[in-house]
Amino acid sequence: MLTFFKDLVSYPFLVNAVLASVLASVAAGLVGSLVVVRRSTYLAGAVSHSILAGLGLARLLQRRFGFDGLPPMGGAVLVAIGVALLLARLTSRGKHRSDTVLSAVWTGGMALGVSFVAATPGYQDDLMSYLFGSILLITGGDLAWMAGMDVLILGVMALCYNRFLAIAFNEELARLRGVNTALYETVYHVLTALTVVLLVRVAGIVLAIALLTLPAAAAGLLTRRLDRMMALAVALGIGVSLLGLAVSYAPGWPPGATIVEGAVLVYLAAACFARQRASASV
Amino acid sequence: MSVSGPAIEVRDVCFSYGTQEVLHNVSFEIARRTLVAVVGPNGGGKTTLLKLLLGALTPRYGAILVLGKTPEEARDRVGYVPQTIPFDPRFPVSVREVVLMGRVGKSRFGAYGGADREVARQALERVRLAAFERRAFSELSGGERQRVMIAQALAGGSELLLLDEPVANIDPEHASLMYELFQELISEVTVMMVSHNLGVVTGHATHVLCVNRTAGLHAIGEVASATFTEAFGGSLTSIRHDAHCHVLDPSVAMHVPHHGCGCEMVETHEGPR
Repeated sequence: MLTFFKDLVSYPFLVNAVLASVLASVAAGLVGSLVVVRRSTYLAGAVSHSILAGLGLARLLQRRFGFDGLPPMGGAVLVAIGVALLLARLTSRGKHRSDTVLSAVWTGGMALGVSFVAATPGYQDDLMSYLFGSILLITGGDLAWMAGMDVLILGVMALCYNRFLAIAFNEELARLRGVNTALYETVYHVLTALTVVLLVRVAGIVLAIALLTLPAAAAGLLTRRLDRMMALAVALGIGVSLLGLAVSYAPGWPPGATIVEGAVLVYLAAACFARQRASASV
Repeated sequence: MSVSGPAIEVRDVCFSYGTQEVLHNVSFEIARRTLVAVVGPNGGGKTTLLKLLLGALTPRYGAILVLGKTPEEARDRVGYVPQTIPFDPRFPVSVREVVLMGRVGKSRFGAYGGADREVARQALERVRLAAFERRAFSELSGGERQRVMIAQALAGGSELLLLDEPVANIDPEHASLMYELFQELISEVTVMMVSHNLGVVTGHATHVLCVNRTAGLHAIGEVASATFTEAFGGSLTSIRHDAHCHVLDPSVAMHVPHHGCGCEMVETHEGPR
């Protein structure tokens, strides 16, 4: 771990990784808390896995047709937003069974992605980094995009927090109280999708859900208000991300996986603490 | 707060789910500041009627006016409290935040203002839960949660409260408190509650609306067991509990006549089967 801190002052890519951890944790803590209290983790899973279709399509267009206008992350954002809008529409007011729709999007998106990758000439080594994350390869451009996302999420949360809380508590009552629930559901789905894309850059498609939900779930065990849960989730996310980076650096472990393992440990510790507190209060 | 005109006007309303007609030619008029108990058998159309009044359903024929406007236009002046609140016991929300949700459609973007918080505090005082303001909603009992939901409706400026079986899942002591609360509230708002408990209906409501595909409104002084029999279509024994009745569990009193309260058994009526 000491090696990490020594090298931090010498290598800009490590500074980028630290900044990316902080920026990703802000988005994950805010949106992840809503995802956890709404029990919509599968929404995040469906978006994260369908992103492979966007990444694969962008690379196919680039390699086979010479079209450079759509970078892989651009393809991921487009597909994520498209999937979010589709899910918001299909699952609103129980028009379709949400688990069926989510499963179809989850697996269909991945299947499309695999097909696009197979149709692309050459070996797609960098696409593999999207599966498992590449926090040590974060660029200045990535950081600027992440910071912009954080500003957007913070702004929307500051403006719409009360409405998100009311809908999460009881959608029908919120609608009867004059909230345009369809609009805010769409905003929530799009925010979740963008946050997932951001986390995929850090932890990869496979592990992004863990970063989104585990710090928030741990925070939810320790506090009984959503705004405090969000703040605590951000703090826990930053803590486990930085610790994971530092611990994984010297032995050369995969940082995304190490961060997620740390998040699992934090969640287990929070669960034990909450259980002890509950039994002490009986 | 406008007090002119009836709270609810329903004229010749018919409603059906597909080909199954649930309400047929329903007409009634409910005056403001009354406590109306809606009674009737399961499947008789009580919940459908509430949904029509909320504007969540549209009648096939007929017209509905709520507080002088269409149900959709009146929605922000109508408070609805469902029988059960689908609620995750670990949902992180305080009592004050739940009450403030009554203001969510009226407030500007961003945090609630001082005026909103003051209205929420007053609403909690009216349901006698001011001391619970900062507690977690999940820590409350079923009856306390129902009172918080009523405070939410009051905080939203509701002039009409629609309550779907408000005491169905709460203990007799809290049920008694709830009925006292409803009687206090009708000094300012109109309360319409669905109830299966005929014993408490006669003891607390000012009017009874019998709903069984059709609907008939009766002032409480005119209610006899034949009224309920007409609504339920079976034989019923009626006990009229007076205002001082100390029955703690009216649901027991329904099945065990004179459950220690000494109230009068009105009559047993054999209705059409």
